[in-house]
Amino acid sequence: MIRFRVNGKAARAGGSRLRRLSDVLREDLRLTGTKVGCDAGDCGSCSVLVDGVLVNACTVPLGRLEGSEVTTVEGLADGDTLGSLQRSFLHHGAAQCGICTPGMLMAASALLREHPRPSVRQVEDALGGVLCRCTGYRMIVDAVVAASDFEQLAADPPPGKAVGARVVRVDGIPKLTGTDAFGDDAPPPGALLIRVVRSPHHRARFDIGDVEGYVAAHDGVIAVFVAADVPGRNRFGVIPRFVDQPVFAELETRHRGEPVAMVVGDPESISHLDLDRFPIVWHELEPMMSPDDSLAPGAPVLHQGRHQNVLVRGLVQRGALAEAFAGSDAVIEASYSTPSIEHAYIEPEAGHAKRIGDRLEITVTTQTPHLDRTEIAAIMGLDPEAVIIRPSAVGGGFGSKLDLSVQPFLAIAAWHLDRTVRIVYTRPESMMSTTKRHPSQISVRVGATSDGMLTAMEFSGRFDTGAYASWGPTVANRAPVHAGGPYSYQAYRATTVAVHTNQPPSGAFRGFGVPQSAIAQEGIFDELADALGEDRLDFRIKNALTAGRPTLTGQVFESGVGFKECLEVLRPHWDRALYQSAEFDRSHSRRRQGVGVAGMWYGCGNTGLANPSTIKIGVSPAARVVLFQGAVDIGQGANTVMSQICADALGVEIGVIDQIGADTDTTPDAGKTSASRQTFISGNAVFAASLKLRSVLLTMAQASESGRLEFGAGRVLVYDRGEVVEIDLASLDIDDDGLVVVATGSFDPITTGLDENGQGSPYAIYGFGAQMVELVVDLDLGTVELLKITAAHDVGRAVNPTLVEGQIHGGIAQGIGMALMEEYLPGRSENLHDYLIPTFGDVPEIATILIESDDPLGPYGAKGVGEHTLVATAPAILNAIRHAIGVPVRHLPASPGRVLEAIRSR
Amino acid sequence: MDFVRAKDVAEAIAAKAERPDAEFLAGGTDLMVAVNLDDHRPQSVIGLRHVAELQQMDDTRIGAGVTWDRLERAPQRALAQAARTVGSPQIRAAGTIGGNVGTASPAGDGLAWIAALDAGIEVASVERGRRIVPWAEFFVGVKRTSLAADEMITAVVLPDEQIEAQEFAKVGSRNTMVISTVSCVVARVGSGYRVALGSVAPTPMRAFQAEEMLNDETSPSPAAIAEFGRLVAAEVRPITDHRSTEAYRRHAAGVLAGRLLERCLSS
Ligand SMILES: Cc1cc2nc3c(=O)[nH]c(=O)nc-3n(C[C@H](O)[C@H](O)[C@H](O)COP(=O)(O)OP(=O)(O)OC[C@H]3O[C@@H](n4cnc5c(N)ncnc54)[C@H](O)[C@@H]3O)c2cc1C
Ligand code: FES
Ligand code: FES
Repeated sequence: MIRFRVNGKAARAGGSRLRRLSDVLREDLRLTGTKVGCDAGDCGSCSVLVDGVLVNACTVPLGRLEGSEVTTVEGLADGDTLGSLQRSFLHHGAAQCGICTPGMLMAASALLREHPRPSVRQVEDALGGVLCRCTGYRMIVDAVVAASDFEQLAADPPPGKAVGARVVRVDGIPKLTGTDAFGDDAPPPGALLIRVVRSPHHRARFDIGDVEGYVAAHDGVIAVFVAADVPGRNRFGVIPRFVDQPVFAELETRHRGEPVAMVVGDPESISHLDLDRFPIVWHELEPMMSPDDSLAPGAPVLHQGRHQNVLVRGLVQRGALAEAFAGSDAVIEASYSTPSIEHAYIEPEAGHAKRIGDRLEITVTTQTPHLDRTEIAAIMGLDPEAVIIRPSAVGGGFGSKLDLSVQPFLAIAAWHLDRTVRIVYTRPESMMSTTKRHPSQISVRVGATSDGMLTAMEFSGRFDTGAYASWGPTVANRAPVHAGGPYSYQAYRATTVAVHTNQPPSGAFRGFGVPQSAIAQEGIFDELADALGEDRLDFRIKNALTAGRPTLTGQVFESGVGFKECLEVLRPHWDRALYQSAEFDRSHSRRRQGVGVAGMWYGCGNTGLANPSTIKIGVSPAARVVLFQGAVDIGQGANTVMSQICADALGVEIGVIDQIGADTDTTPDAGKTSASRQTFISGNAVFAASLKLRSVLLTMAQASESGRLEFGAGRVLVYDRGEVVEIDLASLDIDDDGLVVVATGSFDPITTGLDENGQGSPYAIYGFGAQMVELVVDLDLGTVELLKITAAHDVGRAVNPTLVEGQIHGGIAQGIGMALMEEYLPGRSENLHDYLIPTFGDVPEIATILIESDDPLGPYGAKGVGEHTLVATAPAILNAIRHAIGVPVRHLPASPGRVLEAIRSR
Repeated sequence: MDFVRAKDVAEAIAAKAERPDAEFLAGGTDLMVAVNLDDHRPQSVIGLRHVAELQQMDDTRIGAGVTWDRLERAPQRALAQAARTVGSPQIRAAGTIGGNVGTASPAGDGLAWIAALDAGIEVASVERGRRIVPWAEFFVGVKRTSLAADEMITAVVLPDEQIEAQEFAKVGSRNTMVISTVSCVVARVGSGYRVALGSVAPTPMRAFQAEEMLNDETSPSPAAIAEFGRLVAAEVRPITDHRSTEAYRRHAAGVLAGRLLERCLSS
């Protein structure tokens, strides 16, 4: 036994002296505020203080702890009473999903002890070892700089004033005290552990050997399950027509990391089991690692019926292309490519499950509980009603947690063994087996007349959809709808194809193919503008889509098109930046300052498909408003935004609202947290439900439409025309949910499918934006230093400006990673030191400008913003690099090597 | 697995003599990662954190157990510069120079400095007592050293020389927590110049031709500085991997060497 102290209390732990402190804290002492994102020192989410020194608990062996004093996030707050650092985090929006927050708080508290009023630079250095994938870091810096002087959080806004206010995250406190339960934070005691046996090859056949012998020979192993043990359909997929992914491969594995079996047993015995000794013989097959391989004549077909490995094709076209090109004074064409990109949320996939009679209850980190339920039911051969999905807190998703990961393993093991089971992926497992951003190869040709007006664009995009369909069809359909950007052309034609390879499945990642196509389109715009002698910003303003003009699919919006404003508002910044870059270049010989701009648009919601959301709201006998919030909050802030909309629609204070999380048994289906749809679509459903509830209450009090509601102890007061009526809640019947009054509201935006030319109205609204980047390139090393990013976004209406800015910062950080450093290579970058994501030092100052175009369809005029924020960043960076060095970098990432190659090709 | 917590060097080497396959554990930032990811299961471990001698440092001798956060304030300028770029505050609080030498990764940020200053690695064993192994004999390949199975590293020892100037720099793909794609140290020692590089060969290396070319020049001209960079780029032996290409590493090595030389000259 090793004896030490944790947060002032005596503690002890046994077992191997090489056990890591993070494991001891979480498993033995149940202090799960300390998070684990990598077990390799790379992410810092396990940061704690040992004898006052900040360390990664995952690299501290138990053997070293004798007599030490350990401080964790649980030692920072006094119950729910937050310290000034935590209040400052809440106020500044420094915690989004919250999985990195405990590590950030520990690093910050170590710094503040020595430097109570730190500089920005000191904060960046001191917190530099903790990764965050959500916030883009700047708000964290602001929070720490201001922490020592931070007094009190602002009071909630008065009734009717919640929308538009910087309300702090309603679910923020548990994120700051370390009590928010993410996927692996609350496994039931005694749960068995699941470990998955995976293919070490990109493509292979296999023979599984003596499994019974294996189980018998290993103490603590209780069972092994393989494909034959899947009770229902050994296939899943997010799109009904393309269900093709096995839970366990049957004959052939199609990507590295694909599951073939799982081992279930008691955690102590099997957590260190060497799975390389699992009885299986591999027969490696020649893999197809890019569409060039899998489209080659004679290439093996990965999925029967998908000729030439083509999953789907997409097409959007309008106008007479050849004529429009013929009438152009300048035509430019070029090819671009983007690599596979990993979501790299800090929380790996995790969950736990149990069987209750003929039902299964699965608690899991997910963006889409209802879709999970449908898929698990099919895999298990059960009715959907027999499956309950309870989302845990989600430590970042960005699209990948729309697909099943650990859910089938949990379901199968819990069902067969009738035991509680748990699972958590290691970082390499998470990276090798979950979806990626589609690698793309894009050719684009674009023309304009000598007066700078666009004529035509032709776009052809090849997307590597990997081993299974996942969201490949969605990407292939969304990309051509957006690939021309928010601009007007005489003619447009975009074709896309999604092709299978032996890469991990490509799925949804913030933008569904739009970020890739924007890189090509916005990149070639700069080349065209230069060829025409046009100012690059002017060129975009001239050609910007406006209300009343048709989109690429022929849809015409009469209002809510704020793109031109986004560009125009950048004008003074653009002029200043161009001046400064010229000044800089005059005084530096081996460094060049560049300025780039890019525009973007993004349709909110599914492409031309039904998109419904239903929200239920009730009143409890204690006069609390209960919001059944089915729109999963993965850090973006849905819980807060929905409360704000609900509060204003009811005309009450936000403080009277309680939320019931998105559990498939109790919460109606609000649809997926994807496609930037929740604020717009579920926001409208909340609005509708709130108005209904209000109207029911007013009717009960026989008050007029202008009545005002006030929720107090056990009663609702209705003020109307100088009178007050009390609704006595105690006298009303209580339903199964414990509510006395209930209303539901639904919303499904009106869209149309696309015709054979890809024409139609696929989205009810689009969001728009433009970003400007200033940077310096070192001409000898090819390194890029970002100076500032200015982002203007048409968000319709900012329901919560802090949350919107948080989305913008986070999207920008991911765009920076995409532009400059990220590239996923199966087998080579399956961890967070070979796969690099931006750190504190990589995200520059960000200035945000919110354009409120007041969308006629959005709740209080709001549009979605989640994915929009990433789209323009990478192209703006690439355009700034081109401006600095005079030649384009068209293949991502623009690593120092690539940039240098471009410089030397001049 | 057994775990020995050594109190002094004598205890550590005695334990090691008994268990030749034992692993030393210093800060654990390399060893624990290997253990966590299950590709490494040491039979026995000898903990070194309580060996006071290893914590000592002065102008010519740096104990193996000195952590990077202390080295950030080291009197040796280039070592301090290197220390500031290692990992994160968490890694620097735990990781040691001895562990960096023990791991002997081509990307180890302390190693180019050791090579540039012609330092020796002091090792100790029960059988042979203490000896100093010249760095060039100590590092023999990618993560391979000539340390014998019964030996431990006790210190990095500097020769008694007058260092006029020393500068470190590295290039990587992001700004913090980044593994070097190239690292470089240039030093002016007496009237001569030294240049050493990391991540461009299986071991840290010196670019001797570049050094010799310069050593004839008292105050190198811009042309000589450019030639120095060219020679460095010609001498390195990098590879292409997922972090960078052979061509880029070669080029960047020359650029860094030239820049650091200029800094040495102006200091
Ligand atoms: C996230 C992260 C970032 C990193 N960034 C960098 C970086 O930027 N630059 C860099 O150079 N390194 C980096 N490293 C690697 C590592 O931190 C350094 O190599 C560090 O110096 C190792 O020291 P340690 O004390 O932690 O070694 P340990 O892990 O304790 O030991 C490392 C090896 O050396 C052996 N060893 C240790 N001490 C002795 C001794 N006295 N005698 C004999 N053998 C010994 C051990 O047995 C083991 O094999 C990083 C590591 C991580 C996890
Ligand atoms: S879990 Fe310890 S650093 Fe990532
Ligand atoms: S808030 Fe930092 S990772 Fe989500």
